[in-house]
Amino acid sequence: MAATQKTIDALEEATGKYKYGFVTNIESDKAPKGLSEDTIRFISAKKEEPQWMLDSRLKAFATWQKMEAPDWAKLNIPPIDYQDIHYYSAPKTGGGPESLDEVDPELLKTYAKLGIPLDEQKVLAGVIAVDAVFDSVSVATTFRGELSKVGVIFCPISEAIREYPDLVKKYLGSVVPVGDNYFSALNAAVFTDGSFVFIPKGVRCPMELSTYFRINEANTGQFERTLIIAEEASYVSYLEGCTAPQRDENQLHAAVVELVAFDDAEIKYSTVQNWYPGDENGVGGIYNFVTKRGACRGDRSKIAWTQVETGSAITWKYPSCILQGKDSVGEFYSVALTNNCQQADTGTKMIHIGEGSRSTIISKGISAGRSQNCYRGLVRVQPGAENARNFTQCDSLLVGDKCGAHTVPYIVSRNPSGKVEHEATTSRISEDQLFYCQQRGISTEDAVSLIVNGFCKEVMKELPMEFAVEAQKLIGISLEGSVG
Amino acid sequence: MPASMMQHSLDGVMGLTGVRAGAQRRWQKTGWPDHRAEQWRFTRLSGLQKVDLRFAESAAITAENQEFSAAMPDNAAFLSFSNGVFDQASLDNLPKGVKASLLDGDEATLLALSELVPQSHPISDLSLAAMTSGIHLEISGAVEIPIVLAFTGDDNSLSAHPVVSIKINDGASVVISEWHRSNVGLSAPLMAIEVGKKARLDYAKVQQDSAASTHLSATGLKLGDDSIFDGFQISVGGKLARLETHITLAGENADCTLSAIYLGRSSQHHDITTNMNHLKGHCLSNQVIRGVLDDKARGVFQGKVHVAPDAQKTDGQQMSRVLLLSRKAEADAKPELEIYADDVLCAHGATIGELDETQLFYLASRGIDGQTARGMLISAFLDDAIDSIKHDGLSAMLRPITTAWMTAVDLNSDGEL
Repeated sequence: MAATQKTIDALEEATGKYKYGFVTNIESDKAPKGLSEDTIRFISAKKEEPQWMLDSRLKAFATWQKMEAPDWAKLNIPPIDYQDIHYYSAPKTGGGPESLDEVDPELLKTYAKLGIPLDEQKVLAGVIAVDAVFDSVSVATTFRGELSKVGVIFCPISEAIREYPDLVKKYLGSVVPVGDNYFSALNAAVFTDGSFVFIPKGVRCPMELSTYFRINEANTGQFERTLIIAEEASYVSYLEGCTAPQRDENQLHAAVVELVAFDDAEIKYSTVQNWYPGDENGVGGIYNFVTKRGACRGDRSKIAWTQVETGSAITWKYPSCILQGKDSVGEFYSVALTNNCQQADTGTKMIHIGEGSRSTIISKGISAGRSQNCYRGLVRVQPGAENARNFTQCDSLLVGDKCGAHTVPYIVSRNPSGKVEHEATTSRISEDQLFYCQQRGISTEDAVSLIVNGFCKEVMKELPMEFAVEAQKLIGISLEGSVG
Repeated sequence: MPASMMQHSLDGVMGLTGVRAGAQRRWQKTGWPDHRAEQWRFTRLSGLQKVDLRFAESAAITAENQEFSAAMPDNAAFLSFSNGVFDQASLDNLPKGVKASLLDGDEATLLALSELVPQSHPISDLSLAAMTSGIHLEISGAVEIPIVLAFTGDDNSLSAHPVVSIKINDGASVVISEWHRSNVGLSAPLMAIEVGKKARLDYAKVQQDSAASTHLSATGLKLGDDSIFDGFQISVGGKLARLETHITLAGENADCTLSAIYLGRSSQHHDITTNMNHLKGHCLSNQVIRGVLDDKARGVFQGKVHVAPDAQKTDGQQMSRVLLLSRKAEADAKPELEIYADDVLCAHGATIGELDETQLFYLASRGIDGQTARGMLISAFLDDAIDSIKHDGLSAMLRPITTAWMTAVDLNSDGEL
């Protein structure tokens, strides 16, 4: 059974024709192109940062200069001219707005087009707080009042650096050290903004925290830095979604996300990534090099990563968990969909250090067009990780015969009581499955939709409701599906 | 002309021409893979650089083939290498349908061989350049008598680089066993096997080198239309052993099995690396890997299944399981799928764990003592792989090796492994 036109159309609908391709005309305040100590001083000054932050940035820059870009991923990355990028771009809105009224209406319109009803959020009675990042500056933060009542800090990281220097100093770079990799070093030198979340002991964050990243200015590198700290027995669910306007020049995105969970704390981090993937011929699109890592420092702590990756020309992303605490839990649920000339090399790392630590990895890759989709993961069981348990399942679905699906898992076990299981399959929709459904009176069309929905379901059900709808739309192979 | 072969200059090998000169140049340029080489991330060869080894000049020992004969099907024909040097007397034993010739100076065959063996591989280049002896076998028709390539050696200061090229003509069939039981410093056999259309090869490789030896092998296979390759490898000996096999399914409808067992104890390091390259459609490949590790042994399995865009209807299966019997043992696995065709069924699985407590309890509750129970479970675990061998003679030959290994394991240890 070949992939039918409908399937392909559905995929194109989801990824090919990028409906968020528009540019907002807001005068922006940019740093000149290029990367040097002066650029970093400029960013730091713009952010009104204390001296220690500037020093840390300059140190990171020195580290980065000594490093080489990694080439181990199954990605064909055109050379990136780091001197041809703006490292800072902020919409000119004056000081930080106190309320939505102060936000530039152009921006609000942009978000409305993206389907983020920012000014409706309040009306929607505390479902989501959005710390919206427009290019590099946090434009609006809603519901902060409500959050602060229970002691939750949710603010732009630039603000946290000024307001909560002790927390930032203590945790920033403690999970992803500056020299961890090429892109983390770059980020540590030039990061412009991002979110800071602190959940105090015993607090269950009363709402899902959400932030929408958006790249707007052409040639602007987007370097977010996010830090989430969950103290003992706290809980937070954080949502991140991305869309970007259509541009021909390739744009660079190198974010770093750090999570820290203490005893009995739980962090759920969900992403829908839909950066501009480039056109059918692979022109343009975002280069997405992300370092995401969570440390389960406390006993019985839990970190769950859920991601739906449909965008970006190049994705290089491995959300990971360091399971230090006793009986700590790491989870990774991923749907990665590539079409046209997209390339994705994504997966996770689960490092089992604590006794009884458990991890689950469910990865679903769908390749279409001429795209390449690679799962790359590491499961490591350290000698002290008594009775550690890992289960990994990586499934790939190929749509069309010009694309590629790859699986590169690394498994290292140094403790006999640890149990590590890895399974991977690659297939098309099998005729057996279709036949089985047809036997039971289900039409081919319904059967295909059923199977494809089922293929991703394990991951989709992990998404918070707010995202599940958008994600299903993005995956695009929904009810109208395809006929075999 | 003794010289340290670990030097990039390969001083001991002079005046090479043609294919071998090319291999020598490549070796001198790249040498042993360093810590950055992805393919060697679990098996480091840095220790080798410090070792000073010489090439053997002649077959200095009298090969003790009796041992082999005992374990072999009755009428096997032996082709013997001692310290990497071919014993020409063994050519007298050739069964009907087998033609043998020496590789030295046979530029055409060497060229074909160099294209079959794993590319950009240190052993491919080193052993071709430093070839201690090379033979070429051509198989026609159905060869009834099994052929045993027997590798022995008694000099730990030597490095052995035997090269064997085997061409199985269209429609031919043969049973070949490659048996290593040598005590040389480095045993680096290079094999190139071409299986023709509708031909069949039943193959077993046994690595039982001495505890002080390093065994690094590179084997390249090419399968033609409708051919059958039923291969098996067992790695038991050596201090450090890597058995690397690259298979190209170059014809349609080929059926390929490459299973393996490694058994490690003390501080042994076993590495099974396979590369299954599906170039044409309707081919089947199946790999069942089993590893058992005791003491401080380390086991590595790297298996890549590559499916080219034209290889539609490929069925590629791979399953690797490892049992850790000791707290200090380590297992690493890197199963890899690289797929460019859509109408395929490919799957791999990998597990690492210890003996199942509930299974042990089940057996204990039926009055079976701990030692017997452990033996039964390990034996059943290994049988999964041995059962994939279709040739009865070969499986009968391999079973005693696993049994012998197990009797030496301390299966008494209760619970606290």
